Amino acid sequence: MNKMRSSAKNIGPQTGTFSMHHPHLIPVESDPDASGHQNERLLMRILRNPGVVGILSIAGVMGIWWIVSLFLSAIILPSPLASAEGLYQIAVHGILGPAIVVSLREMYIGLALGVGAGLLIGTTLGAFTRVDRVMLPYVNVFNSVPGVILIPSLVIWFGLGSETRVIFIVLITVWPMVINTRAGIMNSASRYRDLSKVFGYGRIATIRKVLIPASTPYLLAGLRISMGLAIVGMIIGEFEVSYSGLGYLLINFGESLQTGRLIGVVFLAAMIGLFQVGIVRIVEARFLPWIRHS
Amino acid sequence: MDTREIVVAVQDVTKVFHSNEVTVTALQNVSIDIHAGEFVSLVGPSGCGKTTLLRIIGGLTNTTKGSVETLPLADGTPRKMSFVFQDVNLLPWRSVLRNVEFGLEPISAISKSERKERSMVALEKVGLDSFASSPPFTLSGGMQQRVGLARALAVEPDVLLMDEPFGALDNFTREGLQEQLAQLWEDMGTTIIFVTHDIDEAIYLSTEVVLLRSNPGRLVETLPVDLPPQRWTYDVRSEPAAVTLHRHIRTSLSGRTYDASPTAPTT
Repeated sequence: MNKMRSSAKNIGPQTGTFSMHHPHLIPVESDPDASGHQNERLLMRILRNPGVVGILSIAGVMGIWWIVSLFLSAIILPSPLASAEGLYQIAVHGILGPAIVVSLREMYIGLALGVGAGLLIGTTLGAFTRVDRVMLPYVNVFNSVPGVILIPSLVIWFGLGSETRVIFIVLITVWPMVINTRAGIMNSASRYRDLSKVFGYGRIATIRKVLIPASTPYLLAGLRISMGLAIVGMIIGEFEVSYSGLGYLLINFGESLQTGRLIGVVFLAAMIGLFQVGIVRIVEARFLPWIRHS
Repeated sequence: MDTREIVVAVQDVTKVFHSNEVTVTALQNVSIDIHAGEFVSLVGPSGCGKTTLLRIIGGLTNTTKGSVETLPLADGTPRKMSFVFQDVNLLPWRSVLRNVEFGLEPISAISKSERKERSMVALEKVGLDSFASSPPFTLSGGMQQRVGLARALAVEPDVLLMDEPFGALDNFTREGLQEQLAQLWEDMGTTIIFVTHDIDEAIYLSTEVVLLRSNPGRLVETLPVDLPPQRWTYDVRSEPAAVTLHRHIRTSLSGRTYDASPTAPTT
């Protein structure tokens, strides 16, 4: 309860560990004259709980959606229940499961390769100024070009298969990692230059033991952006180059005006994104409590 | 004739910084010999080049002209140097113990268990062994600075360089750490070169005070501090020798002289 309350004061990236270092945020619980106000105070406390607020907020939006849908045709906007039913139908008909498997498999292979390559390239650029001078113009060009324009070329080179979509996801997830890793390494290098010099650390040992760990806040920021882009890449890749996966389902349901199912799939894609953000936050809170103190 | 063993020889060092067409002479023709076992403070106003001189001695900055030589021990092995930074520079993702171990990790001759053992000994010296597994951000500023000191001590340096280590601390914490450092130094006999702008601190800790002035940074004079050891056992500041030295340093650095004090009413 205390965890929830203190983090409610800090909207944005938040975790329960915050309150451990701010015991003064814990409210005073005992008040002898307050028995008459007990219920009121309990209600206030429940309302300040971000979990409760989140659920109420979602319920509110659902309610509005439902009311608006009463006045519109089911083709334009089906009700929340109809959308959930649409999702349920394609699930039991065995359409949804394989689509999710295809999509997530490609997405995570692409993301892993993109993030891995981004870490490698970003670290190299950040730690070796000469390499950076030569390569930075190319990084800037690739980073500023929207990935979608590469799709026709990728189709010509790699065909309409799974590889093309994986390569597309790699190409759009790699740059945020490169940019963030590079910035993190450069920043840490100037901050800890004296330290590694005084204790006789070589180039590689400095990168491994000082620069990379010191850059984790940057790496996680990059990872979050890349994860978001991976979903975009997955869906767009399947729009353009696919006969399976969630993106294909979206196009299909859209063209056949099966709006309930369409919105169900949109919802599912949003949930995947939310799930990923949650994972990064848990990792951050569990393993890197120092980030918020540095 | 000075017969003491020279540890660091600074010869005619000049350091010029260039930035955006502005040229700053941080040090001009500075020469000093640092002798074994001494506690030498470099004292002066900001901009006098005292930190630059320390960084040059520690090999963190190059000279523009002149040389700094760290002489080897009698048996020919090079002297080990270690550094305590003003802003501590602890690695926030490592525990206190792992931070102390950091300095020992590049030395391949030291095994993992030995490294840990030596680090624990260093932490005991600064009285923080019970915080070995704490993350640094849970420690106060003074405690963090003691971890920095333990990290420097763990490598068992022959020369310890300290760059205004207590500059950012409050008065009470600073005095506590000064006392602790004085005791450690008397126990170990390591040569210490200590940068500070606090005259009292320099007198309390040092056996020798080197005065520097700014614009351009240059050496004014080197003064011995003739006060008995174990200075934490008596009130150094009110010792007549300390008062005289303090006044001398102050006038020497400011370059001005004072009139005799207005006569106090006699009782």
